[in-house]
Amino acid sequence: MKTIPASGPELSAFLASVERRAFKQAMFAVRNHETALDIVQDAMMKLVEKYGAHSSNEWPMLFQRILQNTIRDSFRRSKIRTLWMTLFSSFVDSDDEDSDPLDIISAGSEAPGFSSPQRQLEQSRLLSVIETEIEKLPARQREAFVLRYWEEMGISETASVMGCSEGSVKTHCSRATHTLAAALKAKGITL
Amino acid sequence: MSEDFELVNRKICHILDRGANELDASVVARLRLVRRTVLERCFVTASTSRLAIIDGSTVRTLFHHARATLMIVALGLGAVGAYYWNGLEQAQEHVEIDSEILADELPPSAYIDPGFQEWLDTTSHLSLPQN
Repeated sequence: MKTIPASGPELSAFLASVERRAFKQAMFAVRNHETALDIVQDAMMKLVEKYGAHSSNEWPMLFQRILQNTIRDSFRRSKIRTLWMTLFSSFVDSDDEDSDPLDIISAGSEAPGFSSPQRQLEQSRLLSVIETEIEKLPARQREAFVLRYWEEMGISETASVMGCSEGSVKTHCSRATHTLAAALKAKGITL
Repeated sequence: MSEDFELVNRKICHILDRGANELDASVVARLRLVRRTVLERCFVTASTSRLAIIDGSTVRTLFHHARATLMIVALGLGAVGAYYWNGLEQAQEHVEIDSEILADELPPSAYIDPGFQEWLDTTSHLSLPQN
């Protein structure tokens, strides 16, 4: 039998606060808008149905655990189906590599204002490069990096969500950080 | 981990935050719709499930009883039908044998055969089923 959610407005506010990041996390993994939206919907549904009556303090961690499991399940299912899409996206990425990010950064530093269209374009390109590099990370490294640094979870919380040891979390985070730093450095991007 | 990496991580996360805050309006609208759909569906299901607990269980119990009763009745009808069909077949066989005997279509050697004679003796008390 389904549990009855304790508070609609409270749940709605919580979901509104996490939906964008959840969508981005799903996008990093599956790289497809519709699938990412489905994942977010599934995760929201599971949280509200199963844990809606729980204390709101528990929701963030529960939601992350559900979201990561849903992403993993969806990723496994679509792994074979997206093989060709992945290959295709790698060709697209090679086009991006032709453009020199140094130009972006240097041009950005010379830009007079932060809100100029040129500056916005550069920022969006920088964001695109970083998101692409995060997408390229191995799934577990990406998961650890996003939970630990973006979601600002503790090591023990991250380990609990990922279902692994704290040592593994540290290893995944360290590798992800080094990989990202090296990738950005190789593109001439210094943050 | 060195402070440099910590700083890079913070900057990366800052940029990711900006990306999340600058999602396309269409995606934001879809997310809002997803959230509303989830909440509406869950609250409607939860509120109606309470009301439906008694009625639902009663209906399910009745349905299970009716299904079991129907299965028993079907089994009984099948058994009776099989018994009746078997009786009809036996009667038909007897009719054919009797008619052959009466029509003298049996070979003469059949009357000499002691086994046939014995069979006649044992089955002579059998008659056609009463209509």
